[in-house]
Amino acid sequence: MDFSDHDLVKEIRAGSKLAFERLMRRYGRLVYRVAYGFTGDRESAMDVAQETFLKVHTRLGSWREGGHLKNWIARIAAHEGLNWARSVRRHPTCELDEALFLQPDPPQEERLLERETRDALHRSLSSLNPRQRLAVVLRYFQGMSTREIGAVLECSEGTARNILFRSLRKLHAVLAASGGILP
Amino acid sequence: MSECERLESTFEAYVAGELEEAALGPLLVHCRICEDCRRLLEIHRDLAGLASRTPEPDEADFDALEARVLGGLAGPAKWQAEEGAPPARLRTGWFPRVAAALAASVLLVVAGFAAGRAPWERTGATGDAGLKTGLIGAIRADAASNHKLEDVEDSRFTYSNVSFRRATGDRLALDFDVTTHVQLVEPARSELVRDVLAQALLNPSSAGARLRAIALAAGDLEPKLKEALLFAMRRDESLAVRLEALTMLSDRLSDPDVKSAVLATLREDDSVQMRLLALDSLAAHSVDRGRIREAIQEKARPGDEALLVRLAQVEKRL
Repeated sequence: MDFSDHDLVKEIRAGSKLAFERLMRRYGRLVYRVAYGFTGDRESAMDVAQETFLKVHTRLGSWREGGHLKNWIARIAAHEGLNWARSVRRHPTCELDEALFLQPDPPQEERLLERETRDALHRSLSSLNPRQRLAVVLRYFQGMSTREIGAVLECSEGTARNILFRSLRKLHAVLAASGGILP
Repeated sequence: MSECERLESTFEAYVAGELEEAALGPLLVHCRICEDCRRLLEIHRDLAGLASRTPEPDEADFDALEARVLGGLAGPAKWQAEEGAPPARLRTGWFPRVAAALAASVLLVVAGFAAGRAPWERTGATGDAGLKTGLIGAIRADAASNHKLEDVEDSRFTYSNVSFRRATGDRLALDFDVTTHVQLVEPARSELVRDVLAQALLNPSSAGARLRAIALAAGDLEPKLKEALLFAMRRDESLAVRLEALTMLSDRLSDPDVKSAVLATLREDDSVQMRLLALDSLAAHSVDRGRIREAIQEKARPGDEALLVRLAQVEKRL
């Protein structure tokens, strides 16, 4: 039987862990993808997903029945993703990638260059404000339409489109200023 | 208008994934000659590529995640377990204590109003004295550190379900949700009032709330509120809101940012009514007629004739 979000929430509020498992199964991939958009690595994204679901469980009492549970969960995931990003900034760690120290043959060199570009782009996402970052994550990592993004950000479709475009411009400016290499 | 500006809406639609294949041609042709736009296109494609390489966890990973989460719930019960019992928040940590104190404060405010006078009048206190180190203290401190509209957008606190009305003296009664429901009365020019108003101006869900926010914000051209009002005048989807913002800002044309935004409105707004009002405001503030004419004629648009007739009338009057 396919329970509606509303039914699941009702059951969870009554103490059902099974209902919460179902809810996690339903929104696990959404939460993971939003989290990955913030962390850029799988393990941290799973940690953020875990924190997100713990928060979801704690806060279900404040969820309003008329709202969309999916959007509410996506916002919590984004909030946890931002917290993760802030804690990483406060406590930076440097992980050595042994592959970078190996003498690269040309194809490997290309792969490393591609990876550096990708990492720089991911790091540049931290220059966006929370709304912009969430819009970008939802658009690219979750494949949402601007209508859906607007629903999550609680703004119109037009505003969501505008936020996305301004985000790209900001990334452009940041990458250009850093020559594509961000610390 | 440059080619980049002309193609901006096409670009926006492309980034949003809403552009028909047939309409893509001019954009791609332009990107061949414009390095800036080409780079923007590359970033869009790189982001799509980056996302497509997101490693997907398998079912076993999600099983493990669920087990970890459920394990994390294994401590004190978050919800009352009895069937049919209303949910109860776990009373640990700082937040429930603050929320409880806040609830008490809200009751105090409500009780004060019910008694026909505001609680601070009765007690001589602000009604939230006990909470200054708690949630309200935190949101006030956050509001005080937000100097620009961008800071307001980045704020740790998002105010929803906002309503405001004038209270006695130069104060506003605020009512909003921020993690929990908050109801308090603040000096009209406090940073918290400014933050709440600025966020209300950016929130597209209620044009009525934006109109009320404009009416309350217009007397206070502090930087972030000014930015929010300029944003409302230039970008709001509702013509009523844009007109209201322009009307309010018309008295502030001595401010260079306002003057330049009103000129941009005259040049670019889609509504002839907005452009006429912008023209009247600029003319009333003795802005150079040449600049006004240039703004009207920069790009041919419907309504230009009416604007030029109005400009001629203004010039004749002077």
